[in-house]
Amino acid sequence: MEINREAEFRKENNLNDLPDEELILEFQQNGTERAFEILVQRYKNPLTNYVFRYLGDYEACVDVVQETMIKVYRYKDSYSSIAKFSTWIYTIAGNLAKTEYRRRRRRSFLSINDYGEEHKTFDIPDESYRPDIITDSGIKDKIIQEALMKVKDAYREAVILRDVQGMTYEEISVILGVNEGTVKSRINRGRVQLQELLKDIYNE
Amino acid sequence: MKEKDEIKYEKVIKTLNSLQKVNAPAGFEADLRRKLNQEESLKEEKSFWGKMLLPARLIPSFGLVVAAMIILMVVNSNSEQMDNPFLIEPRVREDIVEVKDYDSFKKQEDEIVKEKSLREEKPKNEIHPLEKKNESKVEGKPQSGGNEMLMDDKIKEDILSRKDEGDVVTLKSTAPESTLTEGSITLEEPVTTSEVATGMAITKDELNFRQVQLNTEQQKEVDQLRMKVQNQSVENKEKRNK
Repeated sequence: MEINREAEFRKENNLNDLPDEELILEFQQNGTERAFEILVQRYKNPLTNYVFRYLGDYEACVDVVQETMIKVYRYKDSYSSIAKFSTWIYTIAGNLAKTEYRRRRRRSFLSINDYGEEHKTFDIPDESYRPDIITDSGIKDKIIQEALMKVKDAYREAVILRDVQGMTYEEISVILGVNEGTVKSRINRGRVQLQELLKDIYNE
Repeated sequence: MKEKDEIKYEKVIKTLNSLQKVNAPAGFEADLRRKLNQEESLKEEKSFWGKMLLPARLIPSFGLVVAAMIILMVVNSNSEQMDNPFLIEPRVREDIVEVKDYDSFKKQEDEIVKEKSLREEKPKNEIHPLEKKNESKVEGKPQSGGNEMLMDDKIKEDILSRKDEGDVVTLKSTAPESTLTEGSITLEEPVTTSEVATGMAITKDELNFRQVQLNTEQQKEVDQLRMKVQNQSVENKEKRNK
């Protein structure tokens, strides 16, 4: 019995030490659920941060991240060992986030058209902002998030991946499926828009 | 080494870097596990129902096939070709005799004559049921249809009259095409009318001819025509004698 426990403990330690790519291979080939759980632990927070900055809605963002994990679980066999696991999972999350964003925008547009008068536009108040504690930094965060939401989708995505998640241009180009030049131009344009939107904060 | 653009937009980059990190909620893994289990149970249910029901992909094609069948049925029911076969009158046809070997033809002829003589001995009130039926039908029909039969009769009478005179006749087709269904009567050698008349061995009683009752005017016309034919035959005879 003790020998078995020791072996399990060693295996557990070994799995924790493994890089993402080996963990997903372990899950693919041997169906080791523990490997999947470790991957979930590693990626749940970075993905939540990324998706939240893109969507601006915490609850929706959690749903998207969970859906991403379910897709990884269900379609584990579609992962190719040539690719980096992080780029694969970010691609899935990004696609799901975009789909969700479009759906929400369509829904809000329809709901406004249903009740609003013609030729009038409305600002939809974002009530779902988290963290709950409102501090000075919290207020600042809210302003920045609102500014981010006003940046064009394609630019926002690239800016978040680069300046919030700290990814390289190469990784971003793989995730977005565009070349590095396009990534750089998108990031620059996003930054220009943000600078314009946040000029009041900088003046303070 | 920082790129030019990163120096230019340093403030923006710093601002974005300074954003609070948003983390997943506490029960994230538990929720995920629950959702995964739910999906698995749904899959099991689907596989059960998948066995019971048709695959969803087949439903549209099945619908198309059913629609096509309905359309075909509607179109066919409206078409004139879709007659009830039990209500269609059988086509009136004559027996067709094809003669190739003249010797065997003669033997057949003798047999038929014998049969005929035997039949004549039988009581005359025994009429074939088909004949009865034809008679009853013909009575109700318009007289224009009867003209065709008149022409038939005329030709036959002509042949019979020549038979008596011993004329030589070559016969290819005596009946109009409407009465011949298949093939034709072909006699390769010239045959005397007597041979033809007896060789054919087809009488009105044996064929299901439509018999028309003529009124007096029509009867007169027929008589006139008959006379003409007889006169022509007499003239022909005289010409040949000359």
